[in-house]
Amino acid sequence: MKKVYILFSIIIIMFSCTNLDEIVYDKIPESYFPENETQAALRVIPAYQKLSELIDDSGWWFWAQEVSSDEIVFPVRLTDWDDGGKWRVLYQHAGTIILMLLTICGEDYMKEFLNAIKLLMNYYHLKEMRILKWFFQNCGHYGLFIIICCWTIMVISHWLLHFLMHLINLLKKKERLLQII
Amino acid sequence: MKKIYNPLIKILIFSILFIFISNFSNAQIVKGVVNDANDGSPLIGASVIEKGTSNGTMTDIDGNFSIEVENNAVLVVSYIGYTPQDVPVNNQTYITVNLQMESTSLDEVIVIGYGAQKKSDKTGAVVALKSDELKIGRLSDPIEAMQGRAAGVLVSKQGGDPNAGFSVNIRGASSFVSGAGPLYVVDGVPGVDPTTIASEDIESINVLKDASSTAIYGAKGSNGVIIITTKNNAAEGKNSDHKVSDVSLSSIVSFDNVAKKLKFLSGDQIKQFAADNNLNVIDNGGNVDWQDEIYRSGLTQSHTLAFSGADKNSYYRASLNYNDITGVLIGSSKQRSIGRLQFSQKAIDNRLTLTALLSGTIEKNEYVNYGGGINPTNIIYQAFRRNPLDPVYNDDGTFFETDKSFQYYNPVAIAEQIENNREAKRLLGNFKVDFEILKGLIASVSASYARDDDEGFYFHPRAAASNLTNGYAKRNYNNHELSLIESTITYTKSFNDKHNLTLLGGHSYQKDLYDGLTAEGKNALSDYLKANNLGSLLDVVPGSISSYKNEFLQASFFGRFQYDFMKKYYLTGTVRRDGSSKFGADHKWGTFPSLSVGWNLDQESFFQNSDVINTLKLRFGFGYSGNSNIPAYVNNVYYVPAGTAINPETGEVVLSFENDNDVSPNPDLRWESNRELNLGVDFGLFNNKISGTVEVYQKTIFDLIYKYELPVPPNKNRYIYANAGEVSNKGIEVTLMGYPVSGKKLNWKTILTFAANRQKTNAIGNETYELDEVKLLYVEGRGLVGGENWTQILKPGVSLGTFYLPEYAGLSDDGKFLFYTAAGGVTRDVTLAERRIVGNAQPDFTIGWINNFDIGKNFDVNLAFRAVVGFDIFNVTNMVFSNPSDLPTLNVLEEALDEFDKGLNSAPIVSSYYLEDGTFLKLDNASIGYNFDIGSKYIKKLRVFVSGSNLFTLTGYKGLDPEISYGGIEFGRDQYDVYPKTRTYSVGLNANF
Repeated sequence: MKKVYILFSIIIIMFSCTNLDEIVYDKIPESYFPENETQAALRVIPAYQKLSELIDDSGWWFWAQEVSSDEIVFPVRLTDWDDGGKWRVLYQHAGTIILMLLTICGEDYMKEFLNAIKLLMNYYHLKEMRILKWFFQNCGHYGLFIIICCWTIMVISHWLLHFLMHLINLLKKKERLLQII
Repeated sequence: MKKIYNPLIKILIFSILFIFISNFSNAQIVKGVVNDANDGSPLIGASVIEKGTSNGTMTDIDGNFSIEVENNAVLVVSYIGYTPQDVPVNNQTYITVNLQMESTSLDEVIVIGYGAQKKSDKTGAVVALKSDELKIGRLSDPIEAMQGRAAGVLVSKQGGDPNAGFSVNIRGASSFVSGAGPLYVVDGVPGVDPTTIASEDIESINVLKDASSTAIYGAKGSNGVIIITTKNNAAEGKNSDHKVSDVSLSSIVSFDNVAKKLKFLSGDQIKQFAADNNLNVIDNGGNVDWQDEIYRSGLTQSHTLAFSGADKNSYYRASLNYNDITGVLIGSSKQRSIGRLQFSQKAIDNRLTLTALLSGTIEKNEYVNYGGGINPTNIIYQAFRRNPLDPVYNDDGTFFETDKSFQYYNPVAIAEQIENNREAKRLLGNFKVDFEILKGLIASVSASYARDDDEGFYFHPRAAASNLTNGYAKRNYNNHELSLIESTITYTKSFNDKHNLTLLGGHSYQKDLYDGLTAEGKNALSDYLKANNLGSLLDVVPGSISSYKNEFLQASFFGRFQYDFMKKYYLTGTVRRDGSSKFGADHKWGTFPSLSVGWNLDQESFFQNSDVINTLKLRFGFGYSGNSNIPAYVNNVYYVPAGTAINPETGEVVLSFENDNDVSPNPDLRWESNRELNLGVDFGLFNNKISGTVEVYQKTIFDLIYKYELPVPPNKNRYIYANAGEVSNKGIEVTLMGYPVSGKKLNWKTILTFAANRQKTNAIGNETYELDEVKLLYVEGRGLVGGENWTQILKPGVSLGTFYLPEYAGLSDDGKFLFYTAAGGVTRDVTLAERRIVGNAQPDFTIGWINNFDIGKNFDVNLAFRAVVGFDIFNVTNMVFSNPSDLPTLNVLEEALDEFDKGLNSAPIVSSYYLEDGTFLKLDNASIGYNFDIGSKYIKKLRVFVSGSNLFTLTGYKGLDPEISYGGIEFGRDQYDVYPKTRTYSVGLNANF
């Protein structure tokens, strides 16, 4: 009998651990977010965060406009500034490189554009949300247009984002934002 | 009281008697001869040892020996390749010993996970490598020991960086975003880093290849399982009636040199080129071979001292290993010390076995920056492009720097100025209790704790020309803690000596904790303080300091049933149920079953009298295993700090929080699965002079995870991780072992392995998660324009590593590249060219050929060849440096002059022109050893050896080395990131005391 007890107790000890509820340490689970008003107020900030990238060269916006329009010229110096001839082609408005640049610009723009929409979707789930969702869903159709001509979109994007900021300010003034949150 | 005294008195009397007898027993000289039992020929150099003593001798050229022993002594006669014999002297003066050749290698014990079995009992695809079959000579890592040894196990590393690890790919294991490396099990502890074991400590490596074998490791087994067992002399002690002990010392000193240098232009050639073409060249007065400046001779030493002891019911072993590698690329080195202790003790009438293991590793690495494409601190890239007319130093001894080209820096300065170090500390403790409750019923509990710490130190001084941020310093700390408890119950029973049954049931619970801390900053004001005092950094922003801490839990239940009827018919069934906190809410648990059968045909009456076939076994296995090493925290939404932004209302810099990775939660997310069918044949022919194994398998990896993009709106988040991919592999593996010559003068053992795998991607998405193709393996280089510089494609119908490139169609009259178009014409505009499947980075087949020669009684020679056949490499190094457009400002390969003569007048463009066949044959290792005849009481064995590694490579590949690393989803590119492979000559010594 003793042996049977030992056997059973061993089996019970052996097969007891099945807990799979991990503790999440370095991320805030959705249910805890936002924890406070400061965090809540910061939630829409990422919509603006990447705006700056659109005007510097990481988004190619600047080069695409300046080089193609004669405002900047890259003379080749030794091994530099030739870069496989891309500036030359851009300056001459020749070849499919233009399309390639537009794609890069368009993709970059679309990323930020979608980012803004996503944030709106996540945070404005009342009447305002419906208005904004309608607004951006319709504006989303500009996506196609972007690929065709990034210069136009640049203007539209500035307009859109100004409008977005204006809208948010308007909402905040009515002190409704914090209420929603 | 009497009862207590009685045994004591008995022992006393017995001891006195024993001393009495042994004092008065007569020593005598015993002569004799040791013969081969088969043909009666004498065996030269067989060892004859008086059992229980260190008194011993060897047989001479006629097989004769003479030894002075007690007349009641027992002689142990042994010879390599023969079964040892115990011969009682019994007052004889002349003894003839006939040794039987070890009939079969099938009686070796193989480790199969939570148990061991005889090789003749196996039903799965398991390769067992014993320590004497592993690669010898200088090893930077114990994984290297397996290279070319096991069919179907592709051990590879691109370049020869001692600080880089080997990739191990078993049977085309693949994954799109998860880890595809095998599971390592060290002395029964799964998840241990194999680099924490000295290769001298390894007794055997067992590789479980098919799902019917790996299913016992369930959701961790789908990429194969490598079980490493370390040395001890427990078996020897068990069979001996006294304590056995061993002290062993092994030392290797190696000299490394760069095996191949690329042919770049010399200063004179550049001046000549400039003169011929009326170009201006800036001559700064140097004449430097920049490859020589960044390469050096390396020196490696490895020393291991171990001592062990064992008796009937206990054993211990302690070992200390020190390994110091000076890399051939300046600024790279590795030092590693490993200490290891192992104890085991039996108690309670030998029913209780306690085993403890403690191992500690300290590793110090010195890194040099290389790789990373056109990264300004990639010293290989900078050395290749650097003009030989630029000197290394100025007259005053400072580094010569010039701004003649964009991000053009002195590679020697980069290596000297940047400090990039790491110190890692690893600890492993394991305590195991086995208790035999009833006869044949053993319960075991094993508790393990492993901790891997590493600390990084990085400093780039502001004085360095290559630093673009006024100095940069970084410290980081990473820690991984593994706690594991495993319990098993094993029951073994034989019925009527016909039915043999082994049952195993077990449970395992594992907790992994990862945490770490990084602090970095720019604008480091002091070059003296380096990263030792991070207070000297001026440019520290949110994000400069970061940390993480993650926890993962796994719980498992497993069982195995092994049955055989008269060692003829075998049946093995395995099931494992695994739960992991990484899996989605709806799939917390997965079940992995397998079944395998075996049939020992040689036991059948119709085969028993065959002269040709000694052993023949058929095996068949089918099973499922999984890969739980999937992306974590993607089945819920979590918010993390996401950098700074300017609040448009207040104008202040604020920190934002965003959904981590922008993922949509997927409660359906689960393990990746592997379904595998394996058919194996083991055979032994002509008295086992030839033996071998053939395995054929079909392996389908399904439910592969990929990060899919979702439309926003209607989805709130842009990405989702989902199981929708499928890759199938089928292949054949052949291992042949033979003794073409076996005699006293020459004994030749040869092992040939062959493996071929055919892979096909069946799906990369499904109806819900649509995906047509993924562009892979982007390359970068000077003059490469646009975002289309990718070389490989992942799509259904082709394997991973498929090169999909514009096909080169010659040069135009004005020196531009021409490419084929879909319509069948040619174009000079690469964007109009048709991309075609032009090659594959996965080999058609691999071959390993290992030869061991025993010459006479003292010499042994080992030769190991390895061939990887039928694969392609995209040579970016050649693409960029065979282009003459940068001449004479920057250096190029000699080939660029040929290209110039052909009239090439175009920037480099990604195309099939730069795809090369990488097929190679290497003499991986050659060694000659000499075993001394030691008559000494103090030294049991002494062997000295010289060996050479990577002695020659036969290949048509033009780059530094054709070997590529088969890890992850992208492989097959040589982009000025190949740490030179070394040719190594070593001298070494193994001694046993």
